Amino acid sequence: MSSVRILHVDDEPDIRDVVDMSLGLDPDFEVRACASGAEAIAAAAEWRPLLILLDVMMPGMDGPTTLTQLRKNPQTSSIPVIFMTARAQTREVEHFIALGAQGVISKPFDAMTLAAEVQSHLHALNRI
Amino acid sequence: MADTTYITRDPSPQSEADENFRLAVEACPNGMLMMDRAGRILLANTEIERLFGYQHSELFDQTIEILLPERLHGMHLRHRAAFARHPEHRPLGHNRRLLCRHRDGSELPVEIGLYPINSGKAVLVLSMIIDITERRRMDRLKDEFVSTVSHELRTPLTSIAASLGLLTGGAAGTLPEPAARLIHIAESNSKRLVRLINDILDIQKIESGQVSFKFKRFDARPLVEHLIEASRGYADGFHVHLRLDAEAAAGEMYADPDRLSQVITNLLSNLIKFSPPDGEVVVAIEQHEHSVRIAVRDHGQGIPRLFRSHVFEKFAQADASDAGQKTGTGLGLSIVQQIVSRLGGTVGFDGAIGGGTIFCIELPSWAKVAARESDTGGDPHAARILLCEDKLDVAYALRDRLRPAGFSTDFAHSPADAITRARAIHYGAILVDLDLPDGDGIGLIQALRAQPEIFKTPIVVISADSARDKTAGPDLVQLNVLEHLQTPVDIHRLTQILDSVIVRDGNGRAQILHVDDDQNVLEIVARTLDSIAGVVSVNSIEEARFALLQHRFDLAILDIRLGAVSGLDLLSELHSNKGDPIPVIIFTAHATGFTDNPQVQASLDKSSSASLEDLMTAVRDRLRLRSPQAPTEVA
Repeated sequence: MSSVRILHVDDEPDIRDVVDMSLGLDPDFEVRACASGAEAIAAAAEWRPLLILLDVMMPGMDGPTTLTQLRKNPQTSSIPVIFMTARAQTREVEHFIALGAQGVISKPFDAMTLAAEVQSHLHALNRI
Repeated sequence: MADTTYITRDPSPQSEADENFRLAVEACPNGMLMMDRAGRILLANTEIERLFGYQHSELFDQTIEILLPERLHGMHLRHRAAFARHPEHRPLGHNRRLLCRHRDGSELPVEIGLYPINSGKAVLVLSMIIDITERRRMDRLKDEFVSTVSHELRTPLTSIAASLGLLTGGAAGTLPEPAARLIHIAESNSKRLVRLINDILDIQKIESGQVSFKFKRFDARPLVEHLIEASRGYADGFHVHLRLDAEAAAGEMYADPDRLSQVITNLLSNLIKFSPPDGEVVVAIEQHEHSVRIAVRDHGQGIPRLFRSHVFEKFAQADASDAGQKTGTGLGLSIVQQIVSRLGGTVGFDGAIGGGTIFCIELPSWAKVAARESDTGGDPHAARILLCEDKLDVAYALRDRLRPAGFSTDFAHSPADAITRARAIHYGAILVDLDLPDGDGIGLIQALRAQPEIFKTPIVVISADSARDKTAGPDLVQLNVLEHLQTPVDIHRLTQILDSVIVRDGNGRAQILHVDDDQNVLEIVARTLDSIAGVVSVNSIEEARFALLQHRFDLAILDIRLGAVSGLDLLSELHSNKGDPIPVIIFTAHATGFTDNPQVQASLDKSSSASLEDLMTAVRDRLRLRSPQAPTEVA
């Protein structure tokens, strides 16, 4: 099976590290990390990941704005986006879905099962 | 009423005691206003001057509305009229909030208390006013602080919890036994910290009203069964057996199932945690007429006597030296209590026979909620309307918003119910939600129109579905539907429509104001018109002004000579609550030539022998003109 490209976007270097390690537990995943929305928009267009994990609260361009920008670009408009957020109450989740996100993973996440959670999102989206 | 009350306009101090009393009022840190029955300001202390920027002398004899933004005047007049009808203490501290207006036009939030005073000569109202700008600012700051801190704490915690999770999960290789134990302690405590932060955020959101509740009708039993299954894994960790009582009822209720789930899950995890190994936690559901009772019972050691009064307090935890390792946050039961209270229920606990504790939540049954269809809490003089709506939260919200506008709203949850009610009671108007479940809204309107009693009642349609509205459009016109409103309903538009079609008074009759200084004429006219309208009889301009504040009138009958003044002085003040002029019939001893004023519909000579018959005819003509089925009023 070819590698599954996951783009992870978070301004916190420590979280980028632990997410990288958590997803690394699944040998199918190839993970690239970005520190900002702007970086993510460029990387998504160039690298064409299968899924984007996007932090909500980031300085500069926040997650929802990044999502809107990704949707505007035909090269990235169809890449599914999953928000990773501490604000994962029902109403916020509904709000993110309405914005065009495919799902929400709440923070703090379970590091040992994160990869499996991402896999199940991909299955639900028929991406694998 | 012949006696007029005079209030001393220059309260010069008569004694040292009086002067001391005056000084105390002036020094009072709360704003104090005294008003007469008609809302005129008689007294204002220094704090009022400071709050609103007016001198006492400028406020004197003004109506209280001078201190309110103009857009709230209509609403406030109606509140004031309602208060005048049922004056009772409405003390401070009950969150009676109002937006007031400073002299410079700026608005300030206040809390008010109202205290009727009987002076022996007149009923006065004392109003206490507190500026709550600062309190509101502090509340907002606290909410923002809690929310920010909680979110800021989560970021490092995410890294810590994930790192520890990877270590205990063996992602970084096998750890030596002593290190593994230490990492396990760190990980379980990081999880506890996560729960604590989640609970703090939850409680802050509930307390600050940011959590919206989505009420619906459902059975408790399937929900409880599902929650028991979801908690089974957690219970297994404590070797606790979890089950639903075999005799559990369906528990048909009206609540927010998501929030109720949070409550039950919280109770389950609490009782599981404090159960001895191999203990059992049982959930029972009882259906009562007015309530559904959900009881969760454990077989633990029970709640220590000294702790009983603190169970629902925030961060309260019993001394658990012998209760095994605790993992709670101390907020769970406080959250439970807050949610249950918002759901309109109660939560309590008791020692169980045979040991252990029973936590009980009692919530309104669907039957009880449905029985509140008749609006009994509102103003008995309000115009009565029927709302055909199956979504109770929408129905209650509409009832609450229509009340201040002077409408009392009964509910019907199904078309059959609507027809029964509409035939039994004469409603001023009927509101129909097109999206009714059993039988569609159009069908209901057709059925209503087929009833002779309801054939002419104005109907307003509300619906969320704009696509269907278009296809339904022609039907609605044929069915003589007055107006079609989209949800969420524009309440201002709705009250405008209702005001334009409803002929007011408690019995759906027209209301007439009759001003005459001859008591005999007042009595004869009231008796004559009683069969076709409600008549409020007053014998002076002052009484008429007060009546205008208290009631809505469809018509006024004026005598011209009222002692030294003319009844025509009232013409400019005779306006409906929407600002339309109230039509006037002049009924006086020398009636000629007053009909050039467009407001004056007729001018009759009361000394003529046929005068009462003429008056009756004129009133009938006028009221027929205003009847709701006038073709020009159909949209």
